[in-house]
Amino acid sequence: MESVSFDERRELDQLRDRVRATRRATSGPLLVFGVAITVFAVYDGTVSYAFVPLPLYWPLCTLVALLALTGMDRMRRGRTGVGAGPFSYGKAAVLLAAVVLAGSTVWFFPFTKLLLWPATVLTVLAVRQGNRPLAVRSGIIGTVMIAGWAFDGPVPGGWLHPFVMGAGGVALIVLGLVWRGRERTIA
Amino acid sequence: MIEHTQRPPSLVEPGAPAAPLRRPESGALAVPESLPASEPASHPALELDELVHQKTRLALLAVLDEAGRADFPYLKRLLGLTDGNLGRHLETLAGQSLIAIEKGHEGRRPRTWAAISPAGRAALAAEMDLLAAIVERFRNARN
Repeated sequence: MESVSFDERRELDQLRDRVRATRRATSGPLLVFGVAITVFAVYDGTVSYAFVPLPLYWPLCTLVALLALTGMDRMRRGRTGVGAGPFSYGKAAVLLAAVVLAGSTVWFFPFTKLLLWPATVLTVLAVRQGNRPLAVRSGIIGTVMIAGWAFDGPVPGGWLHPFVMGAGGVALIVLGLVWRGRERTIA
Repeated sequence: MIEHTQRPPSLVEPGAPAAPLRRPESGALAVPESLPASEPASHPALELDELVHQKTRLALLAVLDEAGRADFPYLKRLLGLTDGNLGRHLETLAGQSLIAIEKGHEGRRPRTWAAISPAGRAALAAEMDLLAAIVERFRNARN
């Protein structure tokens, strides 16, 4: 029987990393959610006319972000021949839509104002896909959220609010770009 | 376009033939003939499923577990296999319902996809648990 040595177990992990890198499984969500958070910070800080009420921004924006990731994933699948992974963005979007529908029957506006939405969605994606780098980086917005909480009660408020969130969004974009470069190398 | 500049891992041997295998019955241990019948088969290595444990098939299951599904050219390129060798290993796995082969067309271009089944995921998870148990046993023996 051909045996699998300890080194070969590591090689299996490297194979998984290469597949994940081909799928852009870490940089894709980081960039999309980084942009969403930055847009939210600008929207919250500068725009007086609310085209979409702020409490509804996150449920809607997260759904749009997941659908955008689904579309990008589908295009990449056609080009590279790699599937959507163990927990596709489409499945995540359906799950989120179910949560939004279920949540709309109860009052959960405080959730919609915080960065809890993107932090939760990214963490769920990372855990279901077994993607540790994504889980670590999604912790950044969780930290920003908690920092905002510490600044000014349950909902970070005042003039500092957009700056704190904007910094979180830009951090995710930068990390996403750095990780994309790494994915290109290891894919 | 993604460039694959790295050498495929040595886990996969491009020339290795896919030997026909019979999967042991569920729960049965693959005890080597050299082992006395009275010897208790307690070592986790004896519980490895040879069908899953073979290097190329193990690599294929690991890749498909991560990707969900992958097409024939991608698997060939990633693992550095020939058409015939990859086809034989995929057939072996499909024969045990560990993966499903889907043939289709994209425009006029034929495309073959391999997708891991729940049984395939379970078999891979069991294999990885056994390997972890072997590593732990090895470390305990050394300490």
